[in-house]
Amino acid sequence: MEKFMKAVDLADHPENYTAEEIRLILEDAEIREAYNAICDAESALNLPADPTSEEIDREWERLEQTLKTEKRKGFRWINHFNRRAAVIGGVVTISLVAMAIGGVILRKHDDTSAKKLTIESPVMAPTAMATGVAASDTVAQEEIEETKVFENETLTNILDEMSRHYGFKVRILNGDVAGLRLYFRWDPADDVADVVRQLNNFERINIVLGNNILTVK
Amino acid sequence: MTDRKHIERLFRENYSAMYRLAAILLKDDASARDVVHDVFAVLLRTEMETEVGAGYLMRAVRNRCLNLLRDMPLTTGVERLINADMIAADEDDVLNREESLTRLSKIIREELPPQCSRVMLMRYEDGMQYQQIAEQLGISKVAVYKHLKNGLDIIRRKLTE
Repeated sequence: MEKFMKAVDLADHPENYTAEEIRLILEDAEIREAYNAICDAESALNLPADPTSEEIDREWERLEQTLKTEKRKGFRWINHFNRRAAVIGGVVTISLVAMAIGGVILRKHDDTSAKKLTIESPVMAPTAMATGVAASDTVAQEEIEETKVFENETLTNILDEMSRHYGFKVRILNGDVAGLRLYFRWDPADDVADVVRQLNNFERINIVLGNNILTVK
Repeated sequence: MTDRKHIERLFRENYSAMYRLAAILLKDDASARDVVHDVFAVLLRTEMETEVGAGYLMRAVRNRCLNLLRDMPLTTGVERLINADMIAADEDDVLNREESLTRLSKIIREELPPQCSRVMLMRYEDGMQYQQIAEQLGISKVAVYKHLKNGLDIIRRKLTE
């Protein structure tokens, strides 16, 4: 009963506990089970109602507005990326240039001359918690800085880092594809399905996501 | 070119189910709406080579929600009464969360001893404090806690049958 009461107190008065205290309390299996049971009971008795058709209309309008705003900012993003574009030449590679959240372009470089990478469809996606689009280029700059850029990195290493972030395993069925070297801009805030789809836009790359495993076919 | 009309139809047909799943997982209305918004924003920006259906949309919602839960401060999760094991749950269990909770709601309302059911409904549906529940039912506060624990124990046994 004591452990049950601790779970009750945690659920009822979380403000009385620090994050570290909560973490320690929930390490106890019995308290954790009781706490989860309380959460589930509360959830079960407060299931969300269906949105009304008016609410759905408003959400669609909000979505359209977001995309209109992104398109207007698109030209400023093109110039921004042209200034920062990497130059790749020399060895034959398959290169991927991807906005963290936008379109994907495949470039093949097969000569020694330097070529600038340009973004053809730059758009800015709102974050998962966004309530609107950034109002200035300064915010856009900060968004870019938070992404991770893999320069001439193998697909294997890219997936390895992503798998640790998303909690997936990686299975390689095609060693040639896994050895491809890429230029890839990855936003860790993106969900894994979106990132896999971006990578699969390459003709040679076929990654299947299922059962917590990323399989390179 | 992404077919906007097609996406809009998908949006209107699937919005409710997607919103409900996100709201159940995140326990927050605004966050749930943002998740659904973002799933469709990606669709409208990306040329999809494969057919997008309800299954893809629900998985996209699930994945976004799990990412948010992963990054959510522990204190926020507890404030919202989010199950501490949701992040590590099986993929299908997450997708079927609404169905599981609907079953749980039925157990609480129809399959518990009456007093256990009353206490749980008064506490978690009506939001009453334990002292209020005790006074209304004419029992002690300790008895309220015991009925609550008994109810949760019965639920656990029923769900593992």
